[in-house]
This record gives sequence, C-alpha cells and structure tokens, in this order.
Amino acid sequence: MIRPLRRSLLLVLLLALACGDEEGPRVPIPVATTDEVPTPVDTGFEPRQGETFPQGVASVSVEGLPVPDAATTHALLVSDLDGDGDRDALLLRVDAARQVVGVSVAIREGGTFRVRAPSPLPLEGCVVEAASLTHPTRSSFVAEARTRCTAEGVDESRTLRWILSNEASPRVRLVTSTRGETTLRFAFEDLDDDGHEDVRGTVEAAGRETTLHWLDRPGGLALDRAEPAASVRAAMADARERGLVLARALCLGDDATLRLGPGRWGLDCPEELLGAARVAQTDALLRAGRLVEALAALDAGAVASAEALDAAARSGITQTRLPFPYRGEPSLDVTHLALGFLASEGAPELRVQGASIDRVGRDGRARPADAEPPVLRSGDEPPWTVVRTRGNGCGAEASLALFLGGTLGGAHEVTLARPDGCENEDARPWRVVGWAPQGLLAARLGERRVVPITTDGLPAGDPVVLDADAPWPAPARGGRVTPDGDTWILERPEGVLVFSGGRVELWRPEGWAQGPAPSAAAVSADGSEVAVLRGDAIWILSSAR
Amino acid sequence: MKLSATLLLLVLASCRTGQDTPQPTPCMSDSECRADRICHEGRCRFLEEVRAELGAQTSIGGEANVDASVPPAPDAAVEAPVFAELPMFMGGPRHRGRTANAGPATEPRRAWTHRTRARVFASPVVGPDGTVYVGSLDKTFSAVAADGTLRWRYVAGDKIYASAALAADGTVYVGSLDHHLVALEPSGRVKWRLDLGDEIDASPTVGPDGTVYASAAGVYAVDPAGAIRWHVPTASHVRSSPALHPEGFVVVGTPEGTVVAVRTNGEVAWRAEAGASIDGAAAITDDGMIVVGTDRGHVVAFDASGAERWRFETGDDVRATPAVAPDGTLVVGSYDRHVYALSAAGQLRWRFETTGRLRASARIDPEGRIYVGSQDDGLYCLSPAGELLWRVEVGQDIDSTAAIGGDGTLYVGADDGGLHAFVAR
Repeated sequence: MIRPLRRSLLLVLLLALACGDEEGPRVPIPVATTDEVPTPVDTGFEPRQGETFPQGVASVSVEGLPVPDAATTHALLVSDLDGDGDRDALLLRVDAARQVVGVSVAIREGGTFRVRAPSPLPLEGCVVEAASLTHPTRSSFVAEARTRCTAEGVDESRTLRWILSNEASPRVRLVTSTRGETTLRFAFEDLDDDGHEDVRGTVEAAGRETTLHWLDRPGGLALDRAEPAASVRAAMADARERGLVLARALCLGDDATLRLGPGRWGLDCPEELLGAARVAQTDALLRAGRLVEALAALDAGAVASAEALDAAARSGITQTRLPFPYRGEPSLDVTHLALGFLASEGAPELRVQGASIDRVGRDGRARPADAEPPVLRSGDEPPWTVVRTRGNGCGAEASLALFLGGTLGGAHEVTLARPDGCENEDARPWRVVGWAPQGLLAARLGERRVVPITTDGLPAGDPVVLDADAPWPAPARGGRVTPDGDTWILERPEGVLVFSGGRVELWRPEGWAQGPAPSAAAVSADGSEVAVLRGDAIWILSSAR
Repeated sequence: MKLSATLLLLVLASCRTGQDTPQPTPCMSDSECRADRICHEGRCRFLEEVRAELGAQTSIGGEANVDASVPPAPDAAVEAPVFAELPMFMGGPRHRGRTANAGPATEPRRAWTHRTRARVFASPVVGPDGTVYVGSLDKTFSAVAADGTLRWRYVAGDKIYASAALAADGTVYVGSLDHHLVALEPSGRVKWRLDLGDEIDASPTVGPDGTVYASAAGVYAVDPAGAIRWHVPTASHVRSSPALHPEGFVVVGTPEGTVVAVRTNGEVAWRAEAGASIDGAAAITDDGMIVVGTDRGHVVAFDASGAERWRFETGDDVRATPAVAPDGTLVVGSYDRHVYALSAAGQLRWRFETTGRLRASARIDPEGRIYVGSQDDGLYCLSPAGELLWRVEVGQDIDSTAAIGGDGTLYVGADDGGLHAFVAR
C-alpha cells in the first residue's frame, strides 16, 4: 500500500530519475514510515550476482561473441533479457572519454549484439572503485557503482545505483546517487496491484531510515496509486525546488549528504539545504494559492521568501501612513491596543484604545476621546469588558477572560481551544475580532469561535465553533469585522488577511516588509479599508473595489 | 426612537388598501387592547360585540367554530380559549395552522428573499412587530425586518431545522441540532442556552404561563429562566413538536408510533399507538381531538383520553402536521403528492394533486384559503373546496410551512436557502 504524501513534513528525497533512455532531473518521491518490506519470494527463481572487475576490463565477450563498445567494464551479468533463448548481457561501464558511468544493455541478435546505454551519469572527476550487478527478482536488475571523487579538493565517496526492469524490454526505472555514509536498500513488490513490480527503497542515513516508493507504470514512474500515467515527470516542472524540499528527508544528520541532479550543484546538508528546503516548500504553497496553509506553515516555523509573499498578495492595495506616536503603555489588565473605524462628521476616523482612547484623523492628528466607548467594551447593560487572550492552544489552553460590569475583578475564563501540541508556542494567537448580540467573536488562522454572552454579561456555555464558510453573527461591532459579519481581518507580520465572501486575500502593499509587526488592526464598515498600527504609524490600506 | 409594537401595528393596519372602514387593532392578548376590548381572533373587539357574534353563530346550528374569547382565570393551567395566532409553529400551541391575517388571494409577486447558505426547512415565525424569524441548515437563525433587511443573526453550533417560538414578553426560543435550546431577546442577545443532551429538530411550544415545551430525547418543560421543570424520556429521539391540549396536557408523537400525553405537571396521562413513526406534530382540533400523521400514510385521530376515533389512509408517508379549519375540516399533505381535506369524522372531502411530495404543513387564513408548499418547488393556494387559486414557482423544494404577516405578506422557506416574501400584486 502506498502511503499518502504527508503535508506536515518537509518531504521526500529528490533523486535522479531516468525513464527509458532519457536523462532528466531527479524524482520527488513520498516519504513513508520506516517499515521494510522484504523482496517477495519468487519460487522457481534464483537471485544471481554478476561478475565484477574492480580494475575494469577493456573488452567483454559472451559465449565467444564480443560485446561492442565495451569501454571499461566493471561488472557483467549475462541473462536472457528478451526471452528468445539466447544469452544477452548487462554491463556496468565507464566511458572515460565522455566522463560518464552507466549501464549498457546488450541484446544478442544472431551473431551480433545490439547495445543500448541508457541513463549514464557523469563521473565529474570521480573514479569507480567497486561495481556490482545483481538479478534480485525475475524482472528486476540492480547495478551499483561506488565511486571516489577527488575533484576540487574534495575527497569523498558516492554510490550510484540503477534499477532496471525487464518486463517488456530492458529499461531503466530508477537511478539514484547518494553521497557519504548513506545506505540504500531496494525491495521489489507489486505495490499498486497492476501485475508488475514496483520499487520500494529504504534509505539509512545517520542512523535513521526513510522508506521511499515508486510505482512503475508503462508510461513511467508515478507517485500516486490513483494516477494513470507517470506523474513524476509532471512534478519535474519545478523539480529543483521540490527537490530541495524533498531532500530534507534525507538530511538526517551532519554526516548525511545528498547529491541532486546530474550537475555539480549538489548541496551539503543540513543548514544550506534545510533552509532552502523550508523556503521552497512555503513558497510553493503560496504560488499554488494555498495561502492559509502557507501561513500555517509559517506559524509552525517554516520560512517564506518576501518575493513569494508579495506575489501571493492581492494586487492594487494602496497605502497611506499616519504618524501616530502612541501615548503611554497599554495596561496589562486591559486588552491589547485596539483600533476601530469611526464614521462621524463625514470623514472616517480611527479610534485607538489602549491606556487612553484617541481619535485619529486623516491628517494624523490625535485627539483625546475618552467619552467614546472602547472598541472592546460592550455598550450594553450591564457592560462587559474583554481582556487578554491567554495562551494559544499549543502548550496550554487558550482562553478569553471576561470582566463583568467594566471592572477588573471577577474574571470569567472562557476556554477557546485545548492544547493541540503545535510546534511553535508563540504561534496561532487568538484575536478578538469583535462582538455581536450573541457574544464575542474570536479567531485565529484556520479557526473561529463565538463566545455566547448572556444579558447578564456571563459566558453562556461552551463557545460555538464556526465552520470555515459560516457567517459571523450579526450585527457585528468591533474593529476587525464589518457590521454584516461578511468581512473580517487578521493582522499578521506578513500582511493583513482579509476574509470576505468565502475568499481570503493577503493585503501586503509595497514596502510592507520594511516595518514592525502589527500591534492592532481594524476594518472599515464597508470592508474597503484596513487600518494597521505598526510601531508609531498607522497604515491605511485601501483596495480598488 | 423605536416605535412601540402597538404603534407599529397601527401604522401597518392603516396602510392596508381596499378597506373603507377602520379595522380593529391587531393583537395577541387582551392586555394589548385598550379599554374594555378583548383580543378575539387576532383583533381587539368589544366584548359585547363578540358575545353577540358567538351567540348568532351557535344558534345557526353549527358547532361554534371559534373559542369563546373570555379571558382566562389567572391561575388557569390550560390555554386560554382565545383564537389568536401566536408566533410559533402552526400559529399556536394547538398547531391548528390558522392564521390571523389573510394571505394573497391571487398570484402574488416575490417582494424579497433573504438568503442563507443552506436549506430553510423551518417555518418562519412573524413577531408582533413584523420581524420574521427563521432558522437554516447553515446553522444560522435570522431576524429579518419586514422590508427584508437583516436585523440580527444568531449562529448555532449545528443545523437549525425547527421553527422558533415567541413568548408574550418577546423572548425568542429556538432549538438546534447542537443540542441547545436558546432563549434570545428581541435584540438577539442571549438570555440563556440550555443543553438538552440531544439534537433538537422539533419546534418548541410556549404555554400560556410562559413554560417552554421542547422535544429532544423525550419531552421537556422549561421555565422562562431556563431551568428544566420536568423531563419525560422516550425510547428514542422525538421529532414531533409538543402540542398543548386545552384539558391540560402536552402531546407528542414518537418514532415508535406512540402518541404520548403528559400532564403539565410532568405525569404521563396516557399513551396511544398510531402504528408507525410520527414525524409531524399533533394538531388539537376545536373539540379536543388529537390528530397525527404517520409514516405508514395514515392520518389518525384520538380523543382526549387516547382512544382512537378514526383512521384515514393516504398513499404514502404523512409527515406534515394537519391544519384544522374553523369548520373542523382537516387539511394535510402526504408524500403521495396530494393535499387531503378530511371531515372531522375522517371522511374524505376532497384531495388536490401536486407533482411533488408534501412535507410542509398547510396554513389556513381567515378566508379559508389554504397555503401549502410542495417538493415540486411550488407554493400553492387552494380554495376551501380544494380548487387551485394560484401557484408560484419558488425554485426548489418547499418543506417549510408558510406564515402570513400582519400586512398579508406570505413568508416561506425553501431548499434554495431562501426565506421568500410574497405580496399581492
């Protein structure tokens, strides 16, 4: 059974792939568990080893018939490859002139051999120290060459492997190239019940094992059981980046190294490759339009490039900045700094609540507005005040504390989320989006809650969990939601997420990356403007709606 | 400044066209009427006038087809015998389906649609100020103004199948599949949420003393403060909305086919067997007969002691609640696509064929017109004789029972997620 691709991991090893006679970039492959499946026993078939020539031989003959283009042969296995009753040959050869090493398939046709040499790999200054050819199952062959490379002052060994299939005619199914103390074992098994063998490889590096699968289809290698044709080639479109991500699976320790691609751009593990892999994965999610997943990955410690974030953001967002030196420090017992849009006197203004309450005009001038009700205090009787959110559901319960009557005693804790064991303790903070007659509206990336509050200002049972596409209660008040509840926002270091009409957009205008993380945000009543407090400035973001 | 309910009703009443004489003030209880008027058939009327009218009707030879509108004694444990539509499922705790207001007599036009994101199975309920309350399978409960604008929205933890019930003080009660019965102020604020431990997909019923009766894993009586007064468990989940019998007991049907009568003190009075699952609510006729539909296609009538009086067979499930016309005619739809009219003795008077199953219950206006939706996407209006007066295409199945507002606007939900408002052209 093929195991599904696991999103939460930086997956898979990108290895060299050759299907048929073609060279190509490496293959992204899924990472599964470390279960090792033994090669199935084929009664009536005896596995065989070929001959090896450690120093290499210049010519080879089979039953007195010379094999042309023998070059320097390091291993030979004779077998009836095409089932016509005569003896054909597999050779592992080095072509010094071309500086390649590979497997040659020599098919006997009467008094001659017809030779094909699929999937050669460049030697790049390396020499073959040992080679082998084995016939482990009736239809599979494995060729292996261990090389020593001293180019550019580097003294290291590499292991190259070819897996060939002989069900129709000999063709190379898989080529791998690993460096350093890495062990790769292969098993052959019909994994997708299509009647012929597929390949399962187990890589051991730095004491850890990773199992990799390839489904061998007539059209080439596939990753997924449901795919009718080879998907691996389609995945090669951005193979390098995906390979960086997938290669992390084999970067399991300081001693493990992995060569990627036929060229000279192999990367050393772990830091350079790991960092590139992390960015590549998150960037890929952003490019694919999977914004929430990408941001969730960032919350879990992934990294995204500024360019990918800019490209994923909604275009046409303009910004103006109002300098606003914040007066005083917010009290620890009062909720975080809050913003709200006011529509009064014909021009929208902002209301900033912290230790003081100010009104900020478009001219940037701040005026005291102590008579205004705070954004996060209900105007109902009896009034209630929302105070801090505590915890984030990772290491501890996330909760809101409510104070009845506008006083700071007698808090009622409302649990928003149980610990979910996320990696980053600081990730996934809850925000109070606003409130409605039904109660408080709270959200974090990927989750929303309504905390029902009674007319007595007390929590009314457990919070209501909202589906992703459910509307908020209405009419909604508070900074981060429009009155109809259809548009709401979450500010993040990467920009402002704007949720509206079942869609989510990232508002990230030009120059966003240069600035502190937001400390508060608000959306206008019609959802066309967002105000974000960053340091000592308020950014007004506007969409061209 | 908000208009008081009475003033608003007066404004609405004054806007009605085609009427040369002033109409009595709309009402739901005697307390809403001035001076020595009483609330009779939804209108404030002079007591002497009503008595004279009732006396004339009785002397003609028919059974009095309205209840005497004598104010009940303060400590009465039974429903005050006043015919006035109350804002709950099927117009009141007896589920007779009569409306206080006449609906469109000719094919109406659609005035507006309030959209939700999933089916509106529940029946809308119209409050005294004209606000329309309806729940949706998208888990929202909406309060919609008479002009179609959203006043407020409550979001539950799960789907809302049931209709709401409004108490005399304006409290809105609604249940959800999230197991909670919630009490909301007219502003949408939560008074309390009560976990009944099981899905609630039947409409609550509010008694004259303010007790809320709800069905979930059995029958519950809840006081206005949200405390459970009593609970009578049943063998399985009850989908039948409680009906209140004037002799002082609550009636529900069960999926086992049992009609259960529970006294208002929580004691089981009797159980009777209808023979198959009962999904709809019981209707209590003017003479106290209890009528239910079953999944075996039967309409079954029991007397107040639980004895079966008669049984009528349709061609398929009867999941609607029978409506009771003032002359005793019972009107109910069947999954066999017909609307049936039965006499008080269970004899067929007429039947009308639609092209879809009928899950919704019928409503009967003061003119005797019958309004019912079908799963053929049509909203039908029939004459008391079962003739088609008009049909409008709503667009998708209608399982919601219609309601009629004080201005004659007809409200109905549909599977397209809409609460539709139809007005006379």
